[in-house]
Amino acid sequence: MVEPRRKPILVVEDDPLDREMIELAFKRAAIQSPVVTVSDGQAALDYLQAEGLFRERQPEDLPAVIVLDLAMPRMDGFEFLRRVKPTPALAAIPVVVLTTSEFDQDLSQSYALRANSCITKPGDFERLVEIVRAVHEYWCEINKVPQGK
Amino acid sequence: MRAPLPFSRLSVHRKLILILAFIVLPVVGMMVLYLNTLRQSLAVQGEVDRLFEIQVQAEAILSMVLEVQDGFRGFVLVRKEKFLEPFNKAEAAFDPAIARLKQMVRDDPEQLQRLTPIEARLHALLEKKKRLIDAIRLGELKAAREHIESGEGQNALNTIREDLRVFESIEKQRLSERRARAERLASVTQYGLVGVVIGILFLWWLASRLLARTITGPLATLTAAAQEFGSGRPIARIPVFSMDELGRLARTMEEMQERISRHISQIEAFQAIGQDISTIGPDGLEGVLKRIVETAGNMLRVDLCLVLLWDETIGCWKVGAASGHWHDLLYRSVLIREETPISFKALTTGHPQVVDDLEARPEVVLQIRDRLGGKSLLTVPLRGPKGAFGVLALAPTREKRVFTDWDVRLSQQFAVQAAIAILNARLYEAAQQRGEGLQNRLEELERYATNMAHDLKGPARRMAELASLLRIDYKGRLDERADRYLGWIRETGQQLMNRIEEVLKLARIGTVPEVVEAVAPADVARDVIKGCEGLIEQQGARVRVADWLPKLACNRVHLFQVLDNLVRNALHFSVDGRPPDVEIGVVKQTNETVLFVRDNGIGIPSSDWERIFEPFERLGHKDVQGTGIGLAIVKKIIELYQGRVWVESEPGEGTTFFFTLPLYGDLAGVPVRQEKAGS
Repeated sequence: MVEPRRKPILVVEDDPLDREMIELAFKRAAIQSPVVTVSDGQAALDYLQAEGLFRERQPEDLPAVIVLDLAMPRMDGFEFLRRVKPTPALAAIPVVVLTTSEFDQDLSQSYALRANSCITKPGDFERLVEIVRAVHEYWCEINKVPQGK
Repeated sequence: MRAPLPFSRLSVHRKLILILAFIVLPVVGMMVLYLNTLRQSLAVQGEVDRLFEIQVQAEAILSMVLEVQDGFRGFVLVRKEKFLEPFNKAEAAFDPAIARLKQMVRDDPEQLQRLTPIEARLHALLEKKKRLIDAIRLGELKAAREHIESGEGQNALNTIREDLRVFESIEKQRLSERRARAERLASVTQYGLVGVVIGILFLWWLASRLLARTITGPLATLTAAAQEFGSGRPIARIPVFSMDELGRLARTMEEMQERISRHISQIEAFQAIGQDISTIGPDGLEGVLKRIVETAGNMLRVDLCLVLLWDETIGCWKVGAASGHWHDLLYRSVLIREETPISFKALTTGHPQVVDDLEARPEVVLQIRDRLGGKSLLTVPLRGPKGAFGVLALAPTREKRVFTDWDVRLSQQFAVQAAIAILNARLYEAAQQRGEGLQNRLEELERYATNMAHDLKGPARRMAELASLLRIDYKGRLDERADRYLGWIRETGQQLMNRIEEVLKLARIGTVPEVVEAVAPADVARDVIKGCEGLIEQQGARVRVADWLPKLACNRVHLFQVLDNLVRNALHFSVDGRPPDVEIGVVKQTNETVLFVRDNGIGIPSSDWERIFEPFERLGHKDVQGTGIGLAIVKKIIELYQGRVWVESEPGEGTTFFFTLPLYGDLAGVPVRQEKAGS
């Protein structure tokens, strides 16, 4: 039985420990979708545009949701949003900002740059698992995006 | 306006002489006339006397002639010597009588001439008679008888008498002519006197008019003008236009009043100037100096004005500012002391130096003259608390200028103000620079601390997450103690995160512009209560909000943070066994509206009333939840709005936090309708 190919979840996170924790949390949440992790905004953009390291990527492998950290080297989360959201082909991909910051202005700016959701990193693994489960459930199962055929 | 008369050109002294002459001259004339008349009448009187004398003499001569005649006749008849006595007497008297008559008419040759034949006839008669007498004595009677019979003697007598009559009548006629003339003169004198008196009266009137017009009138005008000016009203022109001392006085008064007015306006302008030059604008000290030279130049009407600042370290002048186009040329250039001796003297003596003619001393090198073309120079020291630090140099370049005492005094006063302005500007700049440096360092530190706090939050979170992951993954494989320790690591990490987040919140207050809006505290209080619902329920607490609270002008989130922190604080520090009773209300104090949050908790000793607002200064129980930064956040928010926050408390009884925030009505300038807000 061939399951329909699941769209990947793109995790953009510079801290290797956080990357690992998030990947692990997705696993613990028993989420089937593949999780692709990149370490900064530029790499994420390369992935979306199938450039650089991701030249070989399958065209249909656009992520179902992007989990985005804000503070990153090379290209930060804001800049990434600034590049992605005005591009019509990419605008519909939901972006969930997952950040340490609780600073109102960071949240406001994220929403202003058309982030779809903002979540604060919890400081507790169990809670993190709950969060990624909820993110997956809402953005990958409930939320509808154009199929882009 | 009266046209100037030729008379008005004369000085007051001459005018007075002239006016006096007007009156004195007729009086003198009249006196001369009167004296002349008097003299005439005296002369007439003398003439009458003389005539009388002449008549007497003439009669005497005639009677003597008669006596001679009669005596002779008697002698002839009786030949007695006795009859010759009158003859002899008369012979002796004749000559003196004639001489007297001559004396009387000595000034009249005609009359003198008339006397000569009379005298001759008398002598001839006497001679004849003598000869006849001598003949008689000798006995010769015939000739004598013939003489008598012939009537020769009678004839001679008649002739003499006739001649004397003519003489007399001429004199009489002269006398009557004289008398008539004297009478005419007397009547003329009489009329003349009346005329002169009338004339004097007229002249007196004329003189008084003239006096009024030329002296008393102008004097009154001058007095009025002086009073007018004295009472502070300016007078443009004093209507006294004569060319005399009074006219000059009027011009002098006008000049004086103009000068005084000018000086007054200069003094009035002075205050404004002081304010103007001492205002420190964005151009700082340089702007102040520039305004000083421009203002001084305008005020004293000098085209080149410099502020020279003495530089102790290099022993030279530095041009602080120069008026007009000189500024770009000279600003910050250096002048050496040897080439600016006058300015240097002003600096060292501390007294203004005035040189009316700079060219009078060509041997001395003077930069201001040689390089800038100054014709005269006035330098005034600029004095600070430690003596003169520079000079204000005023050097007209177009023409020489005699600086008056007033100019010097005015510039001295100006220099005092200018010196203060310069010192203030220097202080201000120094303070500004220091302040800016401090501010920059503070901001840098703040940024650094914020970044560091932010960077610390990630590791703390990861620590907590890892600990919780370990507990999950190794559940059952770790002993109970290891599990508990991992739990503590997780909690510590989470506490660290919370604390850092609080610190970041505190640091962020006021750094981002927040929207100020009209906020109803009752609504915010309701949100706060909702947020604390769990805690309230858990403690069985009661939170009351006053029926009416004033609308505030602030950021809603800020007010929420304030009330949230204060309410949580009140709920946390409760007395065991006594359910917290919290009240949010408002009180009117002297002239401000103060909001408060009151509780019945453990209270705070007065020694700690200040300290509790410092970050991390948590007092009392360690086991009470919280980060110890809530009150610091409250204080920082309140102070952001220039408000005040303070505490009053009775340990064991309860605590009241008071705070002020701007009222909405204050902000809009109109009071807002008081609304009822339910709790």
